[in-house]
Amino acid sequence: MTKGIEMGLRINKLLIIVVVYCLPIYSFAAERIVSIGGSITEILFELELQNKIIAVDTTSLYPPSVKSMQNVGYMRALAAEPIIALNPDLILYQDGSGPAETIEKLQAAGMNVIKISHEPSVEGVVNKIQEVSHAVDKVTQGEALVSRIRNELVQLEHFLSDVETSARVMFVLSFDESSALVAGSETGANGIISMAKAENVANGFSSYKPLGAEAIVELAPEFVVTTHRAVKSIENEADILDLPVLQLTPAARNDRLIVMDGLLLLGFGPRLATAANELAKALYSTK
Amino acid sequence: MSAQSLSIVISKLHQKRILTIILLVCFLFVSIVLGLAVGPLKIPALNTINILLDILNPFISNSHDHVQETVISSLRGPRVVLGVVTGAALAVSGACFQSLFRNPLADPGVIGVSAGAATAAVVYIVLGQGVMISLFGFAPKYALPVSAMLGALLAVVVLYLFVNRRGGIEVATLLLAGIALNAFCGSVTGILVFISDDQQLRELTFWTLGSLARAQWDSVIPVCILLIFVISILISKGNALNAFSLGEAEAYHLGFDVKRIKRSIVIFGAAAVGAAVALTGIIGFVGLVVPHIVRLLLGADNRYVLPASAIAGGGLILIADLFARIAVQPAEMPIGVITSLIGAPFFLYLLSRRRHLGLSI
Repeated sequence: MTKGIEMGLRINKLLIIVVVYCLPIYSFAAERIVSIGGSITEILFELELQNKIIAVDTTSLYPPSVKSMQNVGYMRALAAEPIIALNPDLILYQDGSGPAETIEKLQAAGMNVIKISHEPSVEGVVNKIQEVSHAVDKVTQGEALVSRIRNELVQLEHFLSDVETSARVMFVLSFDESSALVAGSETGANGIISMAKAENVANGFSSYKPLGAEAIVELAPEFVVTTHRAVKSIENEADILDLPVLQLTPAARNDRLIVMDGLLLLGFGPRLATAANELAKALYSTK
Repeated sequence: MSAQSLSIVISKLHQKRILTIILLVCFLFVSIVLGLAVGPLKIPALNTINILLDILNPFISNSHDHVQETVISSLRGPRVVLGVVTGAALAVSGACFQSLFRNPLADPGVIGVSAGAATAAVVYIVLGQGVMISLFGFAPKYALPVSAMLGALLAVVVLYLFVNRRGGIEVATLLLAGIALNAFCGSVTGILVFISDDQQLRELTFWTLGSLARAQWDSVIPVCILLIFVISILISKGNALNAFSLGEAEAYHLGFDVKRIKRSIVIFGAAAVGAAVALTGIIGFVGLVVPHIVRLLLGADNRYVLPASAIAGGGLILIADLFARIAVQPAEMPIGVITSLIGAPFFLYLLSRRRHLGLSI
């Protein structure tokens, strides 16, 4: 048996030599990627690696063609064995995916697991793109994507340069008759609102909180921003401002409702600058 | 009926019970094998057998495919062990509570013990984790199951203080106090859901729907040792519980120390549930349905019902977990959904077949 181990060691040594020798020529390009996190998937599409993705998670919804891909479930409720069974050579997961035990198990099984940072800010998106493009060996394409985004942000800055007073905005994730789920500080919505040089009126609390009509009157938003998905159940988009929960706000008085694609607005992926531009135009073009 | 023919009937009954228990052991064995051999990753049967033989025999170590070996030894292995002991703990404590309270609806959930454990876990996730991180700079891995166990214990202590006022446990008060405790825990969880973030919310779902997916050897082994100890104590109370089903006064006159037995069943039952819930979250229906199925097969004699419930509970959880793992591949379902989905209709079917569930009230 010791012989067997010796032989194994020798073969291993040989393998290491071969691999080291080949490194400068061949650097790792993943062929079977599992992408966990909507923005990571978007970045992989931007890097034209869509054919290398074998599975995504439920937060990956853009571009629409991901919907036909295998799905490993929600990013925070992953199971280890099914992912192993897909035989991936690279698993990219957004920071905060889990549970932690699943990630540990994937690592224990020898999977190539790479964590990608997630920070809802411009620099966060840049870091994310750089980390993903490093992991898939597409550094140049990644840099090109980053500079494209930076260009778009310069345009945005130019557009916003003559805005003097920032608009008071409330972002609503979902509605019913008597309450609205409003984005506080430390949310993606808060980040995109400040990028568009506006003020989030609900920055007194963190994450999303359901607020009643009185609390919303108190906040007095000039604009209500929401997603297509939130207004799906309501026939006429404009009727939203007549809901009891919103009707007493300045936004309702002046009929200022902005409905955007939620994935675009909150995704914090490669379309970040596009989203901020779109929001800024909706807020300030009318002036 | 002559004495001779009566003794034949009794020995036939005994044979039938032994045979049933042997069949249940076979069922458990088959479900363990299935739990280890079947999953999203297709591993050839021969490889599975080889890997298992190697794990059981530390003197041989052949080289196996690393991925297959890890999947069997550190993914499916701890999961199956946790499933067996959790199922056994839930089913046995359910059977004990049903007999002790002489109530066919009693189960660890009803008296609020599961809810106490899950609520403590939820409190830890939403509030405690942050405190731990600000105190020590990290969140200790054991803190979550430990707080779940403390929650179960706290629930039992509260129940006990309310119910044990006049020197004995009043069964009716215990059930009502359990309902109050459940309601209280439910609203605490509700408040925490309100203030939790997305990540915490997901963990809360884990605790309220149950899952074996988090099983890892380092946490499964201590819980497993504890549960085996507690389950054996509960099983040893079969005779006393038989006397209890006649009534407390009758049990007393039969020479049982009624107070002491009540106390030890409530405490050990709670410990069993707390330890099980600590690693898996709330898995519904097992504690309720398994003892009833076993009674239909074996009759109401607790000397048989308790061990048979342990065996059947373990097997049933493993089968449910198998569904949880392969139903929505490559994702996974919470096992509590499956146990209730299969358990509830099956229970109704049993009810329609036989109104009387072999447990007299």
